[in-house]
Amino acid sequence: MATHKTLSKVNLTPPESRARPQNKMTLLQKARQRYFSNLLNSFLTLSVIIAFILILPPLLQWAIFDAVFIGSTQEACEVAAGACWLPIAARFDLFVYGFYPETETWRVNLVFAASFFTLVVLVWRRISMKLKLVYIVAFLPALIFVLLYGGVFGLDSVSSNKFGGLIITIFLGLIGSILSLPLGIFLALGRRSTRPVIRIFCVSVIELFRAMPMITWLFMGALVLQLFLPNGMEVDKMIRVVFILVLVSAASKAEIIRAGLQAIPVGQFEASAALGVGYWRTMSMVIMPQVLKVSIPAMLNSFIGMFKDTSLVAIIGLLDFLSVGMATMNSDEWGKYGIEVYIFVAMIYFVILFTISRFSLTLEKQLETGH
Amino acid sequence: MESIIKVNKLNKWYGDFHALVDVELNVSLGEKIVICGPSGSGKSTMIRCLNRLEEHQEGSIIVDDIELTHDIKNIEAVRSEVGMVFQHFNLFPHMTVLENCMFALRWVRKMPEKEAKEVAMQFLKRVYIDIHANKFPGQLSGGQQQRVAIARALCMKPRVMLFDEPTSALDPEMVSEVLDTMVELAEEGMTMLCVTHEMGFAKKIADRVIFMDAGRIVEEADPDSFFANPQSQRGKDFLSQILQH
Ligand SMILES: Nc1ncnc2c1ncn2[C@@H]1O[C@H](COP(=O)(O)OP(=O)(O)OP(=O)(O)O)[C@@H](O)[C@H]1O
Ligand SMILES: [Mg+2]
Repeated sequence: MATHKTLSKVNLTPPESRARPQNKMTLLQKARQRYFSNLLNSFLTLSVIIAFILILPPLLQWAIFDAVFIGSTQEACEVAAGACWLPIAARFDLFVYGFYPETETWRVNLVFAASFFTLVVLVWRRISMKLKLVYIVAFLPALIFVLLYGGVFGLDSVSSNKFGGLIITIFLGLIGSILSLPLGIFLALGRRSTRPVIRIFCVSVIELFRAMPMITWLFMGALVLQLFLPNGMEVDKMIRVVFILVLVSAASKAEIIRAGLQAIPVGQFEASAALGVGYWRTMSMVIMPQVLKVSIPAMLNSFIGMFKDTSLVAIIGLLDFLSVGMATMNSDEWGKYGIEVYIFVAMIYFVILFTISRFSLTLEKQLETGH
Repeated sequence: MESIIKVNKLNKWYGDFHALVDVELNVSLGEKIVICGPSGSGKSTMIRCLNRLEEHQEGSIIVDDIELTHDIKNIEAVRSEVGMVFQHFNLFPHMTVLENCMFALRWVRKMPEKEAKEVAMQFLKRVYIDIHANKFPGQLSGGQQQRVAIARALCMKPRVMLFDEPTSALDPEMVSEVLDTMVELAEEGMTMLCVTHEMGFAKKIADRVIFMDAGRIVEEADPDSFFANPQSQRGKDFLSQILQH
């Protein structure tokens, strides 16, 4: 009985809710809490600071204060104690435009601008997903092809063996990744097909391209493929390389999409089917929008990998961005300044890919909160 | 009475498991049927065979004079005449409520956008969700989502509606809003097959109760006599179990 009494309890004035108490800290207090909260933390913080103090001044001294920026021949560098940035300045056009005709370089600049604008489009909230896809999958590749190759709309035609440097890197990286998206989707869907022929074909393509190094495929694309083509028919080397990159990257995208497909509840397929909607309509309007949304981060990740992998095309004789650097180091004139060239090449890769990775993080956050 | 669904000697296996055994069922236009039975008795399987979300191996199913075979055209034709409401709503999360309802109108009925929108709004109004038309499903309560799912099915002006435990995933306080919608639908004369254990609902609207066990139809009766006095032992056991709650 006694326990019963204590259990029954009515609170006629339930406690009011109130604002969360603020704990205001000065910047110094915050810093102390973050970086010097205990002995280990303080030790780590101090080590990093000391390392910086030891490394940064000599680095700056070498890279900037003692470095040579002005001049056009290597003689200007002979006396300098620091870095010699002249090879980059001297060969800047080669780095960026390859052998692209000088009067037409505005077309390349436009391609670079459109590529950067793609990132803006990706995170632009006011643009619908559908429009983003159309821009990226249809408009951008068409624009890049037209601008770089020319031959239409009154643009002078430019042969792809004039491409070089950043043009090749960006062209292959972008086109390879973008065109592989539709193919990756079809491979992923085919892998789940109930028709054995389609399923086996798609599984074979995926596994074949995933399980062999890209270099072997590039060799095959560049050299072996030609043997199978009818006599006299020559396919542009750049296109052959794109073909290989698309297949390799489609295989990895197919796996990303497969994972996304598995995350979609079977009820989504059933609800659409129960309304009488056919397979392709269900896939394109109900399933894929949901799949793509969850796979975008992984896709951008695979794009970053792909972008770096384009440097492998040097092996079959294409002069990509990294190869221009190597060629510079091997030249008589600038052979001594390999470190500077490497640093420059690495920095450019870093700037491009770090930018992309930041944009992709923003996009990821948007997708988490948005619908 | 015009017959809308004819199921003849239906047999279905999952692997070696015999999930439906010689099921016979005739549904006339305007009839309301409640299907009940213990878990795993094949209620969902049967109702999902009627729009071929599950494939059967033997027997025949004729819906609205179309026989369900492998022919995908027939299947899609049947599906567009048969509405289905699921236990877990299965709304499309990336579309607004309105877009959910317009989807099949646009792409199956090939209706122009403006007209599809009008039809969709009309049915959303009927389930009292029209003020939420531009929200996404994730912003609605379970009961509201299920009413949207009902509206989405109704938009196609189906001749039959199938419900598979439409209230069992809902919080208790939302069950009645969905049942009320279904009662209204029944009163308007819709042909309905409904898997549910809501006895009050069954008594109110059902013309017939079908009791299933182990993949067989064990008993068929009008709701009052079935719930008051089931003939089979299994029916009695089942009722005594759900009455305990
Ligand atoms: N996809 C499947 N593969 C294999 N067996 C299945 C599958 N779906 C259902 N079954 C089996 O078929 C039987 C009938 O299942 P069904 O879902 O029709 O039962 P139910 O009467 O709807 O039960 P519940 O009240 O739990 O929903 C069960 O024994 C179940 O395990
Ligand atoms: Mg069930």
